[in-house]
Amino acid sequence: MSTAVRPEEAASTSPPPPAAGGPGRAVVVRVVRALARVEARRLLRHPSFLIGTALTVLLVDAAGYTNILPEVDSSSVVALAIMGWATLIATNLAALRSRREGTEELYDSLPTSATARTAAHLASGLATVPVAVLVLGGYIAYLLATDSIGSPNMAELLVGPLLVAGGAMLGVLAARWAPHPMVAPLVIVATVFLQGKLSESEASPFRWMAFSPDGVGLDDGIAFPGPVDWHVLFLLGTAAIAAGLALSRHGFSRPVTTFLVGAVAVSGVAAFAQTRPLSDSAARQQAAALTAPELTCEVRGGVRYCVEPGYEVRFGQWDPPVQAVLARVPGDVRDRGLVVSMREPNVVGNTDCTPKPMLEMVSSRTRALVTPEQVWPADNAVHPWRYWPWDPGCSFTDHGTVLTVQVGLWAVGLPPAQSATAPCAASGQARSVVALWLAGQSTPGAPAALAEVLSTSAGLGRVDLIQFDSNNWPNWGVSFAHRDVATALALLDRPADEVGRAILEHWDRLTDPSTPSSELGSLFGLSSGPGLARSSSAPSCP
Amino acid sequence: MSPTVSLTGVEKSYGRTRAVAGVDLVAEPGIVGLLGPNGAGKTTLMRMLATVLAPDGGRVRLLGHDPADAGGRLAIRRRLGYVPQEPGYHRNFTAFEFVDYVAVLKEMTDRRARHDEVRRVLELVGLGDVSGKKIKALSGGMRRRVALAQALLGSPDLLVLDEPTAGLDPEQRLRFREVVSAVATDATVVLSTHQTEDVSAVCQRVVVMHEGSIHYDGSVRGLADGARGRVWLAADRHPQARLSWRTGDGRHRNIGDAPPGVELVEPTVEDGYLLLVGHGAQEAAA
Repeated sequence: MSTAVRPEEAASTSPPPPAAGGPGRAVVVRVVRALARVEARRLLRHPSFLIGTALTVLLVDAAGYTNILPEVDSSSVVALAIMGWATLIATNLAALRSRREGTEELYDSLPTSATARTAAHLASGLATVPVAVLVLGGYIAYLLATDSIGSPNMAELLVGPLLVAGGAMLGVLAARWAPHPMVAPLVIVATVFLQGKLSESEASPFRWMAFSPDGVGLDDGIAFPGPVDWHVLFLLGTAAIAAGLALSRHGFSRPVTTFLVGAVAVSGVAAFAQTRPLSDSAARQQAAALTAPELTCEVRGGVRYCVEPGYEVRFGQWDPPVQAVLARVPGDVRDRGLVVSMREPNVVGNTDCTPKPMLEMVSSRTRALVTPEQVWPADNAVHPWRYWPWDPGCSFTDHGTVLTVQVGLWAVGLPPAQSATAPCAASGQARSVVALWLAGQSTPGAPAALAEVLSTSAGLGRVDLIQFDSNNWPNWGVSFAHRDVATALALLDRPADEVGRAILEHWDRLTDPSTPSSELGSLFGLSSGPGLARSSSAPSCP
Repeated sequence: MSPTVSLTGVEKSYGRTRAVAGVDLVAEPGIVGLLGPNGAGKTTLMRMLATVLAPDGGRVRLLGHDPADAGGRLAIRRRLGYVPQEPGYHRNFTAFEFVDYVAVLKEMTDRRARHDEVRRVLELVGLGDVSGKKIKALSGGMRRRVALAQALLGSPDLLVLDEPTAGLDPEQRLRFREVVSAVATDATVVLSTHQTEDVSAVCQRVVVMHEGSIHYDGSVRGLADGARGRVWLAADRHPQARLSWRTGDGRHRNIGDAPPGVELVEPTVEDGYLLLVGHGAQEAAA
């Protein structure tokens, strides 16, 4: 013993009395608050939480790869789910601490009840929410400081921090009902599996229970996400149910029962609301958004560009490659007046990225109000989607190439964008090679993108190139033959000015529908390239 | 004014094993030593005094309250300090953090006052200068002192200490006696131990338990006196001795029914205890 304290000194010291009063609620609240503060400080320093937070920070951008703020929700969910799982581990270990380290008997002799201790653990879990908000806020601030588009949906953004809070509640729940440290990892595995099952198909009747707010409505397609506000309330209610169940381990006291009943009611009402069919007015709104979308337009260099409000930044992004194509075409072609207008594609990726007709991804009520011809009229305009330069989610489609191929097709008189009808076959037509060359020479990445198209498509045994591969949807109005793409690539290896001059000189002949691509090959001294010339069942492009 | 501890006919069984069989005990401020062999029922009794175990039968009143009643139990716990037989520790907490955590659980919600109190009890047990060390880095004896420190929080009126000196070195045990005897001027301390020296040193009263029952309840001197005339020294182990061991000077200390003419010596508490519960004591009693 290093310090000497005289017995009389020990006996005469007057310690502060414990909180006065009976087993009053005020005392319990004060204790829970004080204990929650202590636990929160430990939780925020817990290695599991720190690692989870670091992973979330690293992944929040990689998971999203989108600068479109209204779409940040789903990416944030993916990244913040990691923080939620890490929090689950941390709160579970904290709630199990007294059991793991043998202090249960001592704690049982103290005036603070097990219920209050559990409440403190639950409350401490809420300390992770500001950290989640901070991470998410930092990411949004970073996007806002760059070239982001639109503004985020606050209700959707709440899903991420709610997952973190839910993870904290689940961790305590597992500790109280299955008090073993191995249970928490099993809960994580179970939630991953369950989430995968719930959201693996847009047809799943339980999609609304999944983390992601995408397409949560039972009858809503992912093209028009469901009632996110109700989904947020549902997640909140579910987290509260977990908290209530954790508290109920120590008995169903009146406050615990009231809390639990309230949580079930909130969650139930939100679940009910989520599974309601789309209202008629909402279906009409969605149909109108598809058939007559609100667009903002601007003319640049003789080209009329139209985008959905908020996407005006696309004018400046689209214009250089479009002008690079138009610079290689005759003046009278340019004078025809090109329209580049943002439009939903007619093929999109579903929840597991399988290409699906877009109208299958909307509510049946909306689908009943529109026809494909209304949504995708054959208007001879170029129709890029809203993403640039990459897709978020399923693919890394080079939208620059998709856009410029459409412009090239328009220039040579082929249908640029896919309409309600299937693409026609431009296989073997010299103008299809010209269109591809025009696109390829307009952006630095296009030759590589076209080469990848060729290689991927050949690997899949396709005859015609309607799409790049199973996960990409160029939505061109035509399909190309392998050999024509190979010819275009061979031309792209030559000096652009030299090829461009020759094409301009023979423009009328090369863009004549009856001119075969072999004639173009002869013009440039190219032997027949590898690959099939044409055997598509699609009708030839007129 | 009711006594701090009042047990009447208290019973507790685990299956067919009767751990505590009809114990009556009254305790006032001061130190009561509880001696007994392993399995005597001491820890079961201590756990009932700490309100973590309910008796199967009998009546328990602590600090004037009935622990069977929720309100009474809370009132008791607010004035109770407890060191379990195997106190756990949060290994990654510092000594200060652990005692502070217990202080919160003892409803000390004012942070500054609580921290002052934590520092006070840590100083009291001699851990003031290692309070910032993690518990996993402390020696076994230091951890025992951490356990004692938390029990002293708030100067409880009833201190239940179950083998608190196990693992302490001699100096630490002396220090422990110093602290506990100081606390016992106002509080009631029930001290369960195997160390008869601790009982001799600090207890005004000793209770000997064996097989769930109290076999002796009285003064420390009285327990030793129970062996008066039954302890003698001889060159060898005497055949009539129930217990015998060779002492440092080479002679044997024999305990039992002394034959005439032997060299009787002054008995100790340990002698009295051994005669009550030691090997052969029950056969002799029968």
